[in-house]
Amino acid sequence: MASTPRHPKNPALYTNRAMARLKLGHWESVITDCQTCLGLAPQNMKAHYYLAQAQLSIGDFDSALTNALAAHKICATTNDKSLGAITNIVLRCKKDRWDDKEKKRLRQERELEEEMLAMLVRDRDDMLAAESDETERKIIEEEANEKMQTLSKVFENARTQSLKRREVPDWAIDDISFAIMVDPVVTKTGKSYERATIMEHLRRHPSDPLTREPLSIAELRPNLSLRQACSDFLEENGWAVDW
Amino acid sequence: MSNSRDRRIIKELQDLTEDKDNSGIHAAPVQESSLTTLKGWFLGPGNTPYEGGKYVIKIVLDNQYPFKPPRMQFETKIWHPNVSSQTGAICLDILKTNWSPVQTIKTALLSIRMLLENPNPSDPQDAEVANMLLTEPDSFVVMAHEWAVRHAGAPRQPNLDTTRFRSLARLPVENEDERRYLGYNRQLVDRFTSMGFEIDRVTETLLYFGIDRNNGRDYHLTEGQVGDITARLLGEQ
Repeated sequence: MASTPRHPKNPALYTNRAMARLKLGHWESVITDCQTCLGLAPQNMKAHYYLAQAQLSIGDFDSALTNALAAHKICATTNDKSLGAITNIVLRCKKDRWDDKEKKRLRQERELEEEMLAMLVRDRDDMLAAESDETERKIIEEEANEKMQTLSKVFENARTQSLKRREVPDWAIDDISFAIMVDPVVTKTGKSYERATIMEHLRRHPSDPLTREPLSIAELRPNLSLRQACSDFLEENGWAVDW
Repeated sequence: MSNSRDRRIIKELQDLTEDKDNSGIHAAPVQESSLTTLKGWFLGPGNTPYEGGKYVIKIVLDNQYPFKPPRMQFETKIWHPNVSSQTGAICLDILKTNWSPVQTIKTALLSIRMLLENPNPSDPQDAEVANMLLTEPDSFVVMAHEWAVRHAGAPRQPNLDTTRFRSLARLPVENEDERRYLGYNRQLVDRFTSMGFEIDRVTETLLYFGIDRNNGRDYHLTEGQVGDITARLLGEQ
């Protein structure tokens, strides 16, 4: 496995092998190859791209997103045709990272709920042990039951609330791919599109999709505040990647 | 992970289903497993010979959709100048060069439905149908309605408005040239213009000799008349 290529300074050898290993699912060796390659050529798009996929597969979400964004940045500046696939990987990283956080959050909340219920039970039992009057004992039990019910309801509400507010605002959606935007760019008409999809369109027809007036790739401008807004929205609503 | 094309098509189908009562536009995959071939349908719009007929459109979305237009054709036979009466092929700019990826299956089907209200005989798909609309607009409406009843199950309209497309018919030819003949028959005048004289000079000369217009019909002038006219045109009189 750990064989060293005969021309150890050629970055392409490492990315080629990384791609083969990616297909085999050998994540750790993909990561080693890509890191070697990036040591030789820090701006190697494929190395960032394969690295992101391998890291995503082993659950290293933050590193995966960093590398996916690095690959995206290189693609955007070099007008590379892989931009669409890389945009999808960026979204996938954000989604998986959010899923992971969400899973942890739900588990923590559930543990907290159980812990608090156990405290209420313990409290009740202590009080019951110290009380011999039947009427008083009944009151203690009723009060304890009520508290436990309220507690469960509060946690249940919190869980359903987070499922309810699942609507994607129109401003975050690209009108060509119908997906959330990662890198919105604005045209002369003031409308924003995902960079990857508008570029794919302009390669075929150098025209504005709305007005059909001539439009070239060079005339696109990044929409920085919209990019930040989409990024913030996804941070809180990772589910929206698959809305 | 579904690719961008599939994801967009699924979204479009969701929207179409949610909005179908409002838009009147329907579409669904022919087979559950494939998003390549769909079928769409709508009812023929009101106040047209197609009113109430169910028109089914076959839709093919290739791998390059939405960057390339959907391929659409009528499955239901229709008598319309922009649709082939044989194959159902549609002549509509947005399905060809004017397609834009922000358009959708729904907007394309809406455009086709609009085409039924506003036929465009100057850019025909079916020359025979277009010619009928241009020369006999009333017969065109009768025929279009007949086909709608027969092929699309449209309810028969007892009081069919056959005058609806008259404004699209080609107006009787009355152009600049025609007026220059001053009511004389074109062939009659052209027998002199073919000798190399201007139309205006010929008609002026005919008037000078008081030659009968014969209600614009051709007739033989006497040799004497022809001689006089030619001589005057040649400047001999």
